[in-house]
Amino acid sequence: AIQSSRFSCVGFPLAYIFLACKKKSMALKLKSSDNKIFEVEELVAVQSETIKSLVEDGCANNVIPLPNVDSKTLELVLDWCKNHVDVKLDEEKLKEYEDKFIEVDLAVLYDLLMAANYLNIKDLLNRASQKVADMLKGKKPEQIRETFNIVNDFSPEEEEEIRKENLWAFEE
Amino acid sequence: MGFEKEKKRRKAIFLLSTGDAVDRISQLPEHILHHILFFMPPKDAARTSTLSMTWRQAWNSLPRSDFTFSSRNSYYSFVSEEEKAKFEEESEQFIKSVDEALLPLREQKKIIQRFSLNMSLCDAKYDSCIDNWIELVNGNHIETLDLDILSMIHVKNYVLPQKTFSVESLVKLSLRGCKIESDYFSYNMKPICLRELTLRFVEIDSHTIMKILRCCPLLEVFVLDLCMKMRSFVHLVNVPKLKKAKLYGISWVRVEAPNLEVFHCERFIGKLDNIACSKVKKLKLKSVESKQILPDINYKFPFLETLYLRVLRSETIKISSRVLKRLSLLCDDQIVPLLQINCENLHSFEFDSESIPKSFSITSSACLEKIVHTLRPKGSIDTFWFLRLRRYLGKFKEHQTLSLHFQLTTNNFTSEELVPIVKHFELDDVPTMQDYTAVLDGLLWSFHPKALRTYSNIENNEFIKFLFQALINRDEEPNCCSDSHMKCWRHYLKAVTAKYFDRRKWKYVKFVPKTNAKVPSANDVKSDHQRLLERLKLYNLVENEVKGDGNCQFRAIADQLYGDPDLHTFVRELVIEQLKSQLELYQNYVPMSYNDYLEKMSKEGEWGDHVTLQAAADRFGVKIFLITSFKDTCYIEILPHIQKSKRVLMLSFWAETHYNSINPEAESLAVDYLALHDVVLSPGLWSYLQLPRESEFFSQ
Repeated sequence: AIQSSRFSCVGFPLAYIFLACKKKSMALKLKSSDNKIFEVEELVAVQSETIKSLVEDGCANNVIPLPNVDSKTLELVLDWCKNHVDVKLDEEKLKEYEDKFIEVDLAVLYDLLMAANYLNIKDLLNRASQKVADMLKGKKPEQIRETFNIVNDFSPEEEEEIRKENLWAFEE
Repeated sequence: MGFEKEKKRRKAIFLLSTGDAVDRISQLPEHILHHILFFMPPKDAARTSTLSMTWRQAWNSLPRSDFTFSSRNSYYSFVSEEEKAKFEEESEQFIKSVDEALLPLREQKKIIQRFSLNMSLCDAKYDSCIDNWIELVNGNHIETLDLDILSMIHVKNYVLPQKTFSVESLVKLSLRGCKIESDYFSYNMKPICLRELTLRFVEIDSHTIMKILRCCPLLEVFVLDLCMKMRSFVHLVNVPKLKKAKLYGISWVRVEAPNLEVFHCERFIGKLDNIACSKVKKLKLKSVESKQILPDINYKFPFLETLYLRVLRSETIKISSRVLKRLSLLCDDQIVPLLQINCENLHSFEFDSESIPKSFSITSSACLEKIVHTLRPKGSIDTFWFLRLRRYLGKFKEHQTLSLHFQLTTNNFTSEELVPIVKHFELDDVPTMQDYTAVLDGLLWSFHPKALRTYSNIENNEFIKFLFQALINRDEEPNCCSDSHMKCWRHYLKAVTAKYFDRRKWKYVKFVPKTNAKVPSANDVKSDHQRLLERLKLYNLVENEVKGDGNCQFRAIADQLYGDPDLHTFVRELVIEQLKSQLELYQNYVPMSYNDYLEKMSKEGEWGDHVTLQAAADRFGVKIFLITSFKDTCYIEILPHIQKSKRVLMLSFWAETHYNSINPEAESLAVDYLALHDVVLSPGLWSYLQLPRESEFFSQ
């Protein structure tokens, strides 16, 4: 029903709209949790599987509310998407961009992880996870706890017990 | 109390932490944490489990899996091109299926507890595929890697990637038929955590083995089986934690393993000088010269509990120990050994030789429970031989549990009277000869065993045929012992088991010799059947004949249950399932090892017996009535362990020949009539009715 109303309201012949869509991708309006509206091309936005399915279901003709993403993060995410639209972009440049992009402080990284997860953008999620993994890599548990503010809620005995479970990982 | 306290403590910590900087990483959803772990090297990932409860949970909730792939196809070089092509196609498919199964590992972190690959390599082009798989699993916390890759004759051995030896999570590595390059290991290599290493038919040299051992300080089990060429050596040194070592196919060994408990070595050992492992409890040495080794054994291995020796040359074997519990000696030499055993805590003693020991003394306490003696006499066996045997066996008088295995290679026999001391008697492969009576009398008169076992792997079953005749035709000589104060062996023998080869199949026969039992002649069989028919007529029952192809018991049951005798395979499956699931109910009534029995019974065409009948009753939860052709037992009722239905299965049993399904002629009173009787036969009682299955054998 929504589909048909959309076309009838516009009043153009169907074929024409189809052509127009092909030629210049439609603009979508995304609303962040703090009520900012972002206008992006459909091609950029549909890298998010979540938005893509909304578009496919035809629920995207008005503003799409994204209550789990704030404007600051959404801006970053959309920047990532814009740079990943053109697949032909040469690989080295893309990697350079990605490396620069992910150099953010921890709080932003968490936001990016959550946003990538919610919007279901696979390559962003992978890159952000990789970043966290790199930060965890090769550090002692104490160092990790300090960096990430993780509270050790084990008693010393419990900790020892866990060490024993995966003994191979703790032997130098 | 303690728990409450703990909770409070944790809450306090939590409150404290929230005041400070917030731990947002732990608040991420679990699958994102998994995703992060995926991007980490295995060791670092595993270490995160000590960070906090959340991280431990994330680690523990990683999917765990076992992968087992097996393709045992192979072909010989002389097969046709067509078959080769078929095999190659199958290999291709196998490779594809493994690839597909491992696909998720490229996107998801998993803990692989075991990766087992079993295939025949027909083309070197698959090496890279295997490399890829191993790399993939190596990145996923693999614990056990089990590779069985045998190469075809024209293909080089698969070379294990070097990285395998730097996988930190690997605990158990088992290889068969691969190759390990010698330049994988340098002396300053980082140690790995391997605890079990098994190498069978692996292309490797002695120096590489030493390098591997140096890299695995935690190694506990090491098995080396036929890996190297002749004149190879193994130095088991720098192995502080090694507990178990088995070495086969080497020619020189040096051992310095302070914690070794089990040591097997199959090679000629002249002296024990190169062997230093004082904690060994179980020692198995093949090809030794007893003169050189035995004096040192107590001193070298003060904690030795189990000793297995295969002695090459020896005249005197003296063993004395306070801790030794199990002793097994095998003498290959023709020379009659002189045996002196002085072990006060010996539990079991096995001795295998060609000749009866010239002189023998055994001093051991009452805990000696098991004595197994295997004799393989060569040359002529005469009265003197029996006298020697008698004297020798007399040493065991106080031990009532002697089992004697006898491998007969001669056919000269005279008989002799001896005291009964042997409990189990095993007779191997009796050669063809004129008169078996002398053998049987001679041997059985000598030991008076309670159980007799015999087997024959030649198509000629003369002896076994004879055995049935002799043991079952006993009532032809009922006065066998009237003129002697001693009773003959016939009064002691309680069970006979025979295994023989017939029409390319192994057959088992077991029966309890009965004084009055006799082999049913063709006439007897007929009259038996006549009796059965008369009984059926009396009760107004008609037989529904089923095919007599060895499945008749199951066919008859299937006919009763489902009205279709062809469902016998299904019935057999259910019965086997029952036998497997409640073995404690049945295993005591099975005369052989239970697993062998199960395997035998699962084969189509194998006769069902009283045990399967009882199992069928239990499985279906119904009573089974048997109208029999036995002279003195008209019918038998088998009660299920737990009755699930009031239905009654009715079968006719033409003793040892055939089962049929029976039904009332008209819907008459037959069932009620039968139900009036109240005879219950437990499986134990059943065994008394066990007659030789060989009625079939003789009638052919």
